[in-house]
Amino acid sequence: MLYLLRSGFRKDLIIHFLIVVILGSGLAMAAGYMADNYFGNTVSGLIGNYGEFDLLLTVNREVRKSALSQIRDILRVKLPGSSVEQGVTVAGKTNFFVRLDDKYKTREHFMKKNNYFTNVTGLVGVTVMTEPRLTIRGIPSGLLEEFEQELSMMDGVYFTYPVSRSGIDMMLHSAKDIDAVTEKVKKFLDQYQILQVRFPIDNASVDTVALGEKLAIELKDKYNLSYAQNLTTNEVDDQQYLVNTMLEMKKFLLQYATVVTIPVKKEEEVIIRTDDYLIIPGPGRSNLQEGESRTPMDLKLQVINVTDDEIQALILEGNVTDIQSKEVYKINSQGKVAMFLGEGNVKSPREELKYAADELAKVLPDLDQIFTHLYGMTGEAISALEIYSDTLLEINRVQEALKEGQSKVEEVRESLSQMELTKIQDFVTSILSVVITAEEITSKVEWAQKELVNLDNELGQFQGQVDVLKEDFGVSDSYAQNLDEASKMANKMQELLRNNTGDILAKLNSYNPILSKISDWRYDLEKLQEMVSSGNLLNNDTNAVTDILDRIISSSETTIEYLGQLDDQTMNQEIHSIQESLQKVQESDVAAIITELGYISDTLPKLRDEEVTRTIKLIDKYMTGEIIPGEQILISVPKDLNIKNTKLFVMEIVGEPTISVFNMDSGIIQPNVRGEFLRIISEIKETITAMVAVVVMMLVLMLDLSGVLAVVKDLRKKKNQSFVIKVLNSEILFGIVMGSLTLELIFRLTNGQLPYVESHPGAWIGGILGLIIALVTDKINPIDKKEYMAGEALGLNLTEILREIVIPAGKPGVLMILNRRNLIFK
Amino acid sequence: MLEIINVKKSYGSLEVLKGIHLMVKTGETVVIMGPSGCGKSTLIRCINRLTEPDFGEIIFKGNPIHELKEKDLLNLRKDIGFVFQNFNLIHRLTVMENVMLGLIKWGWERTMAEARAMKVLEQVDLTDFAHYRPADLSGGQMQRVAIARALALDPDLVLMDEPTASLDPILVGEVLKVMEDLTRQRGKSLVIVTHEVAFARRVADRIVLMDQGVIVEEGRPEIIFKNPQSWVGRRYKEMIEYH
Repeated sequence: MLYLLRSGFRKDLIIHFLIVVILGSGLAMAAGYMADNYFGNTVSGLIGNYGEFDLLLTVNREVRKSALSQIRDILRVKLPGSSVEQGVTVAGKTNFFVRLDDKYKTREHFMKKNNYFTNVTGLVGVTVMTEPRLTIRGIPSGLLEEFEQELSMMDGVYFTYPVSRSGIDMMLHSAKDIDAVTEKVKKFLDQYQILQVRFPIDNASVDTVALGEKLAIELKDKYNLSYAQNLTTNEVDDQQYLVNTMLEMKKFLLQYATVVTIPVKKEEEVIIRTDDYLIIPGPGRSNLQEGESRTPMDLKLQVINVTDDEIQALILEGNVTDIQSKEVYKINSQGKVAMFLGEGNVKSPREELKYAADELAKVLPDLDQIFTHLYGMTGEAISALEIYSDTLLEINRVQEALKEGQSKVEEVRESLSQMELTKIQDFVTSILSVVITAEEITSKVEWAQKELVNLDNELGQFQGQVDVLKEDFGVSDSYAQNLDEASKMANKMQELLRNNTGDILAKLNSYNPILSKISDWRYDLEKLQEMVSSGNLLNNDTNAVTDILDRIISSSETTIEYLGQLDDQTMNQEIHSIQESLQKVQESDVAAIITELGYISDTLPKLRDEEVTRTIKLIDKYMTGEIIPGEQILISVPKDLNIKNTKLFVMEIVGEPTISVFNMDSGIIQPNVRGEFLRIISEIKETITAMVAVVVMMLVLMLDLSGVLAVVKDLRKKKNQSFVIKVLNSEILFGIVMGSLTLELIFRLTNGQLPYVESHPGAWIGGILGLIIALVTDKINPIDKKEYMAGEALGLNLTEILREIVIPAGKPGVLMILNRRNLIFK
Repeated sequence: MLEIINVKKSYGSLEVLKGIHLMVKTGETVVIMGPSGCGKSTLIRCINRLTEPDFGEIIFKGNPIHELKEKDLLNLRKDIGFVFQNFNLIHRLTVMENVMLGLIKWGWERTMAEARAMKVLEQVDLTDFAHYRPADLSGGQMQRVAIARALALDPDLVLMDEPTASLDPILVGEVLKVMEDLTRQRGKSLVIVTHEVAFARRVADRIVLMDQGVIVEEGRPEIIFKNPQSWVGRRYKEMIEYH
């Protein structure tokens, strides 16, 4: 570098430096200006000019036409004098800017702003754009009303209105008032601070409102405060919901995880602590010796609970299905076997549930068949009972007929000899037909009885299978709940049917003697009919006929006596009651139950034990962290109270040593949206300016200075010099200095800034670029050493060699252009 | 005219010149020969300090070249012409411009410089190629341009570093002819590094044989090649006998 500065080429370098700075600054500023102009126009297009509009309505693009029409109608009817303009459509949403008539710029109207447009088709949201405006956020809900009252009375404030549950919008008279009002609001907010007490998330629930009241009083007394206002509410925020859900999730997973329990004999001295690691040997391994290393196939466990009698551990690496041994060993921190603990009992609700689900999958088709059969049986039973019900009337008729028949038979017996044979024959025929009818009816009753017995058996089997399933799924409360309900329903149905069929069977059994008697009676009547038909009745054995008639009379008396004992009306009612019950059974949605059971089977989580344990640990990690807050108490206190110093006192009052005590601002002035936009645009402009400057610098280094750097490097190598002189003459120092100086000066002139580089970004980045180019200069712009040497041999000095040989042969750039004027041979 | 006293040069741990003593008289043609890597080119480049010697003295026309400041060194270089093995022409310039560059540098008027350039180009029989670019010439032509460039300033001493080594054997003759003509000019000293034994026998006033950084033998060519004392000399004698 020193050679160059001492040579006449120094002048060329200075001119080049100035030209590059001017040119680079010009280019960078032009780019920045274009960015500023473009984005500025875009923002105006997006949100209008300052104070131009009051409301921004965002609607889905597809319905923008009808939405616009509706908005116009609403404005015409409810807010006359107001107008709407359609803005840009971004990401499928169309913006409509509403300019409210001045008379609607009031607290009442702004509070109702959403109500006006609720029914606009495709409405996504309503945003207030009115300027000048100041927005304050993060105000505890207990202070909102009081704050609004105070803020609305400040000079320059037109009106205020609350926004959600923690903000206040302040509409100002004039933009000129913004700074003054902002200062006043800052001062106002600075008077207050909020003492926040956070409870650990796993803390038992406390009445925070009451505790807050107590704490406020105590604080006021203890620290002699002018006020201490409890702002605690019972509102549960989203975070709290999340915590609750995670706790439930942890509880579920603990129920779900495989637990290995190792019994411990009291006389044995086993030192095991929570979180210690254990192993169960993998396949083909057993009787592990102390000091033996753990293999990847071994299951790793972690102790979760230790009692006098047993040790409980979860699987940390591996899965319950990998377990092939019951031996459990303790391992030391080096992963080597420390001692044998005993044989463990593995309890895996998840695997049991999976087994039950798999079994269910096998049973489901059979279960379906059983239910289908049950429906069939139920239908048949109902049919049988309907027939039974219908036959009751006929039985009554039989009863009447038998009574009549009995008297007629008695009459026949008395005047057997006097009667005409034809009449007797007719009588016998008619009485036989009645008897056959009675027999048919009672047969039907008998069939119904058998069907109901079958039904009862089927129900018994069904109940048994449901009970098996219930037992399988009863292992986990969470997932077997639905199955349990299904089982209960099936049980109830079985009980109902069994009780009712019991009644029916009892009733039907009472008909058995009647059937027997009627059969006897038919036999006798058929015999009598045969005798009448054969003409033996009058000619031969009158005694035989008399015997038959006696038996008929006798059996009919018995029959009539039985029939008389039946309470037809009650029976009828009971049958209908049973019918209704069975119909209810039939209406049960068994298909839905099967679907639900299938769903349970399908939705069983596919987690390995190590994943379950890891998830539990992850939840624990979050739950014990300070990130997720538990319940909280908020108290408004004067700003001069040092909240940090109150922690011990607060702990004492709250009675909980694990609480955290913080101080919070009572509200935050939200940056103005437009101001933020302009700030962002300004940052974009600065960044683009800087980026262009960096690119210019890069090009200058690559095209112009790389050749010079190569010459400097060659000179450094050629001369025998001390280390310091070599450093001063090095191309690296030259590159860094040139890069830093040039880029920093461009940055200064153009006000270029780069994110994340606060101090002298131009110097840093220019230096780094210069360093990089210096390191690779031979690759970018290698000099022709033969030509260089020829120049030396001719007596050309460094400046002449650079001007005549190196630069003209290098990359085209600013330096080459500037060098033209120095060339001997242009 | 030129006196080299105990000149040493190393590249790192490799000692290339191990104390060279050599004297060149005015009008004398000295041919340096030796096997590749013996330090011939390094020695010739040390003479005008294209390569910086580590030790020793180089006296040219009474001036201690080894001590000269840059400006004085550059002034002295106009009296020492140098012809490179690889021609080292400047490719962006024409043949004429290559020859004129040194003249313009040393203050010649452009027209005068052009006339002088044409004259030396005539000497090397290249006037027809004055406006060609080096890339359009053959190797022999390029080397003749390089010789013309070295002669343009009419130096007292011409150093030639294996001027035919990069040439196609067919083209060597034209260059050797030019060089031979050059040796006949009075008052001009030449130091030529070459492997051309026959050329050396013809033109050299003195042969210097080098091996491993030292001069192993020197003397008139008829003596050196007739009764060589060093193995290098014997090898050259064998070559002559072979041909």
